[in-house]
Amino acid sequence: MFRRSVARLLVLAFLWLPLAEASVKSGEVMYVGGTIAGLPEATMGRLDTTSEKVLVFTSPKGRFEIPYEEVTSLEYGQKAGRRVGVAIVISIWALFSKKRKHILTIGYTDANEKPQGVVLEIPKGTAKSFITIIEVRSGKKVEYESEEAKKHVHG
Amino acid sequence: MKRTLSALLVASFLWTPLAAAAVRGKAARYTGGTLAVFKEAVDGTWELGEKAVLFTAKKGGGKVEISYDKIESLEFGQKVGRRLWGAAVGNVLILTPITLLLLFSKKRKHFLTLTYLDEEGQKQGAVFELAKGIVKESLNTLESKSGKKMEYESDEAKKHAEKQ
Repeated sequence: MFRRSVARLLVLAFLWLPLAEASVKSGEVMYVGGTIAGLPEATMGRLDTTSEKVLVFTSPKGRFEIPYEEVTSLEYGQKAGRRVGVAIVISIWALFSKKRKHILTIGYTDANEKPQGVVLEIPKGTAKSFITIIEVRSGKKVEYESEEAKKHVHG
Repeated sequence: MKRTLSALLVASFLWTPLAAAAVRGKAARYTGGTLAVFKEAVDGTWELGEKAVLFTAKKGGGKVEISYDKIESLEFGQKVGRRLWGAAVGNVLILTPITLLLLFSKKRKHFLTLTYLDEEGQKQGAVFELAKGIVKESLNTLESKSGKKMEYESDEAKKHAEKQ
């Protein structure tokens, strides 16, 4: 009885884990927060970089546009942590790797000349591409929050 | 139930390394940037010509030619990771701790970021993942023919590029 319960618990924990750890998936971007009126924090959406003039965030809850030439600052940082959950449930060797969240902060001025800012969480492996696109089109250079963030900008 | 769960676990372990397959041989991968010709990341061939570097996508036939004298900046970085999944899979399938030695080796991906002016004078930026075998030649050629200094994203990336 006890064994069966433990087994069930383990299976549930395993199945729950990816959801619990769910950060942004490929193709998605999360609006973590910022000054966009009416757009809730932690809104999942998509970032469209096809236009040469504006960066567009779209989601079922709302959208915003940032003209590249109005960008005033660009900052990249990470939130890194050990895979303790995976280590407990699946394998201790998971402690050797770190999970990272990739955070891009964009400052810009809106049509009323007011300063605005958005904080976005972007998927693993896409940071350098987004940074390159925004740097090239805005003419602003990214600032890395730490040497560690710069070193791990590719994932 | 047990069998299904085991199969699921093994499949999920095996899928991860395949999904993150590295660029090999003399190939390169366009991973992102402002190039409208490529809608998404794409694998291709990388040729260092006399006057320009040419990247040709394997699928779709898109290509981009970057003249050395139009290059504005060069940046090199790496993604370094432990062979965690290899060790985990080995440990689960072969049931020997020897596979854990894989944890002592690192896998590296090599990234080159270029900014340059295209034929219309528009500034463009592109990030390429280069196969290990073409890193040194590419960095040397690009630096010497463009006259631009390579910027390294970390001391480790610089050390590793010089050692190759």
